[in-house]
Amino acid sequence: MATDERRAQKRGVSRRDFFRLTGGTAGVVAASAAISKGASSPAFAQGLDEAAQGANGGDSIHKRPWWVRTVDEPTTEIRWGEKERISEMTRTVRGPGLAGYVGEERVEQMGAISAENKLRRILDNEPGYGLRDWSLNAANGGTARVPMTFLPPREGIDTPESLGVPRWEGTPTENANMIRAALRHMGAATVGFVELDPDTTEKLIYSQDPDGKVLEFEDVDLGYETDDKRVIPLSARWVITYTVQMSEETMRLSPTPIGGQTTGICYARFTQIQAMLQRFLVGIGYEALGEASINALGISPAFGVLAGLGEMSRLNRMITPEFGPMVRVFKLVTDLPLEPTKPIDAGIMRFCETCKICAEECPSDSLSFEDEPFWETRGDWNEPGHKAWFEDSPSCMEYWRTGPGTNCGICFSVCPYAKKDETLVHGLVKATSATTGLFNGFFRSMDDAFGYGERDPAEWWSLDLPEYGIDTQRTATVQA
Amino acid sequence: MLWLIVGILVGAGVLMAVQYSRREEVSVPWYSWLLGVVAVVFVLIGIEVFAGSMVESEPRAAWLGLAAFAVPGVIVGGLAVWLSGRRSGERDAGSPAGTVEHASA
Repeated sequence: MATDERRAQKRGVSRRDFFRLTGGTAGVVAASAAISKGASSPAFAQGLDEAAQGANGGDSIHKRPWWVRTVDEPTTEIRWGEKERISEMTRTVRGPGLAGYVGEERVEQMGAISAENKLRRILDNEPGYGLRDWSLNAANGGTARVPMTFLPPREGIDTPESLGVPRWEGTPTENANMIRAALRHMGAATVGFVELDPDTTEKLIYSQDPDGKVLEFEDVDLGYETDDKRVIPLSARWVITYTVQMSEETMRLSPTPIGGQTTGICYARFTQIQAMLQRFLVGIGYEALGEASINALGISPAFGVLAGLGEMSRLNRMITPEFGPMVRVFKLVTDLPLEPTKPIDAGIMRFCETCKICAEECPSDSLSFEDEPFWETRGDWNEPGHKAWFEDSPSCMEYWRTGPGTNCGICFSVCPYAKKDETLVHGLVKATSATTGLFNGFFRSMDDAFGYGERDPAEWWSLDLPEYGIDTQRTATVQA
Repeated sequence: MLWLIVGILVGAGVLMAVQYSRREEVSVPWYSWLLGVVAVVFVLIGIEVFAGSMVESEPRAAWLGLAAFAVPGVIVGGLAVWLSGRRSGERDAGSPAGTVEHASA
């Protein structure tokens, strides 16, 4: 079915829909009963216990929703034996890798089409594509970034060595909480930790960064960088992975430059956060190896999922319990010992099996409609060794460039988990989905009926949004 | 503030219902009280969804949410009142009190 037809079908609320809705009220009550029933089960008791401890680590200072359960293995099945470190530069479609899949000529054509479309839309003052929209997109994007570096600054900063004091020492749990507190204050939303293991998690570090430099592990005291490689010391065993929020209200305007600029500002904020985190770690006496460019160092969603920040999804991206897909995920490698956080099961992957709204709305049909995730990749751009709803990345990128001319984001904006959580119904739905998949089809239908996700780009400039367009109180237990 | 006002209104409503039932000597069965509580909860959820969805700038979700929860609440509330009235009617028709009332007139 064509995307436009699907959208048209969604917009109307038929009498049948309305009766399903009112009748569904009973379903919601039943769901509550199901949760109540679940409340007496040992699994639920364990969940509460974990929530009381902070679902992400023994003594975490950050609390997760009570229905987020920590698990030993992520909801994504992984065959570590089939995994190997991949090159970000040649394998993914973000950089020069795209030409390998569609050809240099097509990449050039796409660039020309994109430029032509941009000019035409500005002159036509198309809503969401006007001069001010493109200008904000550019202002919040690449030009606003703080320089990203693999190595932290070693000079011009107070360190334990320069001060003549011992470096900071704490237990892994204390260190983890310290990093959480620091990162939250720097602008991160949620924070998790993964320990690098040569047989497993180390395979998620890229073999080659986007700029072509090789990433290697060596038995050295400090990380270093040459013209052709970046070296991670074997003593740097911990990955700090964190999310930075995007504006849901703004992302709803996808696929326009005004919608896409929330991604740009998120990356700009990340560059500042990374620079601050590197300086902080060096200041207490530890290594801090960051991303030398956007999407460098390692596979962000994989680290995020292993650290329990979220679950993989039909988007083939991570969806968080707190913000849905409305985050970007980042990482940094350090030798500061950190208590690893466990993966989670919040029913998100199970919900994706039923929902499929992102695949239906994808204008380039890049997302999978398969009911269940699968092992077989759809091309070299996908990283094998785990079960996923692998996407057709070249067709996605082709749409980005020949369609809106900016990052699309439709799949993010239509996701039922992308809600602002101002009403308890969203929490009830997410809690029910985390407990049972029985009502997932009904919840998907109601998401359609309630008409979420539709916005007029022209009205964005009249909105009185909070700072960065995000709600920073959602995961905080202490009010600012 | 919204919930303060709603709390005052619900409290006043419950107080008035109790006073009315005592003044008019209406016998309210336990299941009517139960249905009444369910009705109030549904209406409150409807208000919560409406207010929350408006804050989310989702007017369509707000009105549908109000309809989805408040309409069943009002129906259940009406049922509670009707059941109370029917029981009182049955009691009045079958009790000696009806005879007394008739005689005094």
